[in-house]
Amino acid sequence: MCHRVILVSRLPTSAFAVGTSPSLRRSRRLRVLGVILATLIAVLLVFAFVTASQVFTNLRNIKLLASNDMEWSLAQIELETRDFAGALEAARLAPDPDLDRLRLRFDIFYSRISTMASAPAYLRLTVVPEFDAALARVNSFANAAVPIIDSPDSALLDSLPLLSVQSAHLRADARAMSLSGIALYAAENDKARQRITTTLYRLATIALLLIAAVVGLLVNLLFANRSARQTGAALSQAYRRISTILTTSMDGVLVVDGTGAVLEFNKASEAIFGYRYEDIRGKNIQELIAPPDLRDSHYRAMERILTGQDRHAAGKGRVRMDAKRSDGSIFPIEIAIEMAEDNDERILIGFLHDISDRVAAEKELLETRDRALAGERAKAEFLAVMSHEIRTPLNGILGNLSLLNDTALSPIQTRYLRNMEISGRVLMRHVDTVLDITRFEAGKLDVNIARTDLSSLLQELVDSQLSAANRHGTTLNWRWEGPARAWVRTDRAALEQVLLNLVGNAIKFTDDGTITIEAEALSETINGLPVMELRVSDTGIGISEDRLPKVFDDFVTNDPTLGRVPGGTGLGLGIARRIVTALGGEIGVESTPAQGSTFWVRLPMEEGRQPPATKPSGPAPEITHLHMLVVEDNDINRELAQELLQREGHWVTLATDGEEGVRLAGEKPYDMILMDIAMPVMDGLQATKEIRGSSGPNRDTPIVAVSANILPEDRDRFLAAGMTAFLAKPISRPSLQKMLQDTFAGPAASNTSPATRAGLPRDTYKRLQSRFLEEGDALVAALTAPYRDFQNVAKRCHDLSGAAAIFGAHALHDVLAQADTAAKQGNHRLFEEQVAQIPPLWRATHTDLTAADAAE
Amino acid sequence: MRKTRRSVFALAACLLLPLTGPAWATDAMDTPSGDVILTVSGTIDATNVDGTAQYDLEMLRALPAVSISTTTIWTDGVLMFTGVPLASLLETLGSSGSTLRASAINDYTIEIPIDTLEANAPILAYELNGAPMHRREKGPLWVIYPFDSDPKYRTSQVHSRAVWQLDRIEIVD
Repeated sequence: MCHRVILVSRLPTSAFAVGTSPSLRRSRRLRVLGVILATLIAVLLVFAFVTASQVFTNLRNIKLLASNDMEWSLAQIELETRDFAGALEAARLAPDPDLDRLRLRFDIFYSRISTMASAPAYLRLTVVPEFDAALARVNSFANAAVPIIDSPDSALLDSLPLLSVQSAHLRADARAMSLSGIALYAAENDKARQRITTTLYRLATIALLLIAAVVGLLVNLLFANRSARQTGAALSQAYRRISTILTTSMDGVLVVDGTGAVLEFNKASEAIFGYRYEDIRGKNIQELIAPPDLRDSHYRAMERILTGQDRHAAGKGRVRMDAKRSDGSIFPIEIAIEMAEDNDERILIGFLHDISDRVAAEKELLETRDRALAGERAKAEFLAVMSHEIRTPLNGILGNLSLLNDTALSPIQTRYLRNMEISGRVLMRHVDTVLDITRFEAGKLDVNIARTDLSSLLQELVDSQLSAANRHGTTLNWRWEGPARAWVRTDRAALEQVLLNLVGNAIKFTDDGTITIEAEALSETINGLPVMELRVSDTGIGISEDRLPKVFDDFVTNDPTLGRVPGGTGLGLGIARRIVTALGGEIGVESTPAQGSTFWVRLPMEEGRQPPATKPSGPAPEITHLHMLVVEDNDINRELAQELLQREGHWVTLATDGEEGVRLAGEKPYDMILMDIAMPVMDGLQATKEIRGSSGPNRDTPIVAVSANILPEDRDRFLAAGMTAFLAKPISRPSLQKMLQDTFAGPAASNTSPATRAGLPRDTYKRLQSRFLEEGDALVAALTAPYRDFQNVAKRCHDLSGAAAIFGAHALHDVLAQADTAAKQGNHRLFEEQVAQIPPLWRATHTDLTAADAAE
Repeated sequence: MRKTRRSVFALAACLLLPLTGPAWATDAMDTPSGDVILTVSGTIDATNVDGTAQYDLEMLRALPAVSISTTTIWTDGVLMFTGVPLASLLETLGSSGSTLRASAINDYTIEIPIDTLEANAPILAYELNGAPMHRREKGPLWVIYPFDSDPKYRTSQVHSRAVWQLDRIEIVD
C-alpha cells in the first residue's frame, strides 16, 4: 500500500485554489471602482444638499420680497395719493366740501408716505434717485400739510386753494415713486430669479451626475455580483475537488479545533479507527483515539502545539505514536500534524496512517537480525570457549610430554614421545587457527604498525622453516628483487603469520624442489603509501585452474584425490587473506599444475627509518632467582608451571585458587605473581583487584595473566583489573623469558643501568639488589675459600649471571655466563680463566651499585 | 341655550377675574359715548347699534388689555403696543363664525380664520407707547402680532393680517 500525504487546508479556511485567479483580481478591481463611485455619490449628494438649500434660501427671499407687498404698497402710494388729491380737488370745487373725507384721505395718504419714509423695508428704494427725490417732495408736502389739515374747518377751507396748488406735483411724484420702485423690484426679482435659475441648473447637473454615478454603481454591483458568483463557483469546485481528495485519500485526515473536538474525519480515518464521522463529529479526539494510559500526555502535547511551545510535533514531519481503535485495540500510527488558523481559531490537521504492518515487519526484521547476531555471538563464544577448553588439557599433555622427555627413555619410547609431541603441536596449531578465525570474525584484529627490519624478518623466517623444508628435500631461500628496502613500517607479527602460512603451504606441497621468497619494492602506491610485494614461489605440485579462485576461501584444502593430504584445517590461506585485507593490501596466486605456484602479497608499507647503529649485544640475559607466586587451579598445569619455573631457577609458591592467592600475597612479598584467569572460588581478575586494592606487600608486584584465552578484548579486561603482562598457556621457556625481560628489563633490553632499574618497581629492585649483592659476595667468598667446590661455584655463577644482566653489569654477566658454559662443557681450564676475573669485576659492580644508591 | 352658555362664561369670568367689572358680560351692551372707532358685524350675539357691536375707545379700554413690545417691518425701532386680544373681543361678542373679515379705513380687507387666533395674539392695539394712536400713525386701531417673539409671526400672511387703521370687523361663517 502506497500512502501519500496530500497537502490540504481545511475548507473553507482560506482562498486556497483561487488565490490570485483572474476572477478574484477582477472582483478586487470592481470593489475599488465601487468605493470610488460611492464616494462620488456622497460628494454629489453634499453638493446637491448645499445647492438645494441655496434654492430654498432664494425662494424664501423671493417670498419675503413678496410678503412685503412692496409692489402693492407702491401701487397704494399712487392710489392713496390720487384719492387724497381727488378729495382735495373735490373739496375745493364743492360748494359744501366734505372736509372730514378730505382729512381721512390725508391721514391715509400721510400714513402711507410716513411708512415709506420710515420703514426699514423701504430704505432700499431710496437708493433710486428718482424715488428718493419724489419721496422727499411728497413727504415734505405731507408734513407741511399736517397743520393745515388739522386747522379748523374755516381755516382749512381757506387753505384749500393753496393746498391744491402745493399738491399739484403729488400725482406725478407718486407715479414716479411707484414706477421707479416697481422697476427696482422687477430688476431685483429678475436677479433673484436668475440666481435661482443658475442654482437650479447646478442642481440639475448634480442630479444628472448623481444619476450617472448611481447607474455606474449599479453596473459595478452587477459586475461584482457576477464576479462573486464566479468566485463562488470556483470555490465550490475547489471544495468539491478537495473533498473528493479527502474522501478518497489513503491517508487518514482529521481536523480538530482547539479543544480537540472533531471537525473533519475522512473515509480513510473511518477505516483506520473504526468510527463513523457522523457519530463522532464534535467529540473529543483524545477520548476517541488516544490509548487510555497515554491520554494525559496526548492532551499535554496538543496543548503545547496549540500554545506554540512545541514546534517539534507541529509542522515537523511525521511522528510515530500509538493510537486506539473503536474496539479498544492499540496500534501504531504515523502522523503529521499541522496547525492552522481558521477564522481566528486555531485548528489542528493531522495526516496519519496505520503502520501496524510496517512496524510488524520492522520488528520481525530486527528479531531476525538479533537472532542472527546472537547466533554469531554464540558461535564465536563457543569457539573461544572450546579452544580454551581444548588448550588447557593440551597444555597438560604437552607439558608432561616435555617432562617425560627429561626422564630415562628407551629409543622407541623417545620416538613415540616425539610423535605424540608433533601431533599435540599440530592439534595446538589447529586450535590457534580456529581462535584466529574467531578473532577476525569479531573484527578484533589489532593492527600494530611499527618499524620493522624486513630483511631480518625474512631471514628468521627462512631460518625457522629451513629444517622443515629440508625434510621434504626442498631448498628454501629469500632475496630482494631490485633494490633492497629493509626498513619499513608494518605489523611484523601479522606479516610473519601470513608469510609463515604461505611458506608452510609451499613446503607441504613441494618435494625435492625449491622455494624462493622474493621481496620487491614496487613503484605503485596504495592510499599514498609505497607498496611492497612479497612472493613465495615454489616448484611444487601447483594448483589446478578451476581451484585457483577458491584457494583463499575457508576450509579449502588441496585436492585429496592427489593422494597426499598434508593435513590442515584449510583455514591458513583464509586467515592470510583476512590479515592482508586488514593491513590494506591484497593477496593473490598464480599457478601451473605440476610446475608450481607463486603466492604474492602486496602491502602498503611506509618506508621506515633505520634505527641508529648500536653496539651489537649478545642475547638478552636471562632473569632468574625471582620469588614467584603461581595461582593456578588446574593441578597438572600448576605442577607444570612449578617444574618449569624451578628449572629456570626461580623460587615458587603455589596457590590453588584466587582466594588462596590473595591470602598468600598478603603474607610476604613476591617478585612476580602468575595468575590464572578462570578459577573456582575467586577468579584471577577478582584476585588481582583485591591484591591491588589491598595495602599488602604485593600491592605493586607485577601480576601476569596466564591464560589460554588470548582474544584481544581480554587484554583490556586484564589490564583494567590491574594486570601487568600476559603469558599464553602453555608456558614455554622462551615466552617466560620474553615476558620477564619485558616486565623487568623493558622491551628494549637496554644496556644502561638506570633504564634497567626504571623497568622495575622500586622495592622489587631494592630487594633484588640486596639479594644480588649477597649472592655476589657469597660467590666471591666461595671463590676465595681454601677449598673450592667446583659444582657449588658453577651453580652460583649460573644463578648470578641473570641478576648481573638485570643490574646492567654486562662485563660480569659475560664472564659468569662463559664460566657457566665452560662448567657445563666440563672445560675446567676455561672455567678457571673466567672465574679468575670475577672478584675484581664484582668489586667494581658492587661499588657502582652502592654509589648509584648513594646518588639517589 | 345661549343663556346657559353665557352664564357659564360669566361664571368662569367671575371666578377667574373677580376684579373685572361684570358690564361686558351682560346682554345689554353699552352704547358708545365717544367716537365710534370699531364696528363689529356678522354672526355675533352681543350688539348695541343696528345689529352691530360698536365701540368707542373707552369701551375697548374696558376690555382685558395685553401689551406687546415688538418691531414691525413698517416702523423704526421697538414699539410697545397695548390693546385687546382679538380672541377676547370675539368672546365678549359671542361670535359663532369661522372667519373674521378685517377692514381698514382705506377699505383694505383681509380674512383671518378665527381658529388661528391665539389667547394673546393678535391684539387690537389702541395704544402705542402708552398713547392713543392717531390716524396718521396707523391708528386708531392696528392689528398687532408679537412679530419678534416667533418666526411664525414674520410670514407674509401674518404681515397681511396686521391691518392698520382698522375700523370694521365682520364675522362670517
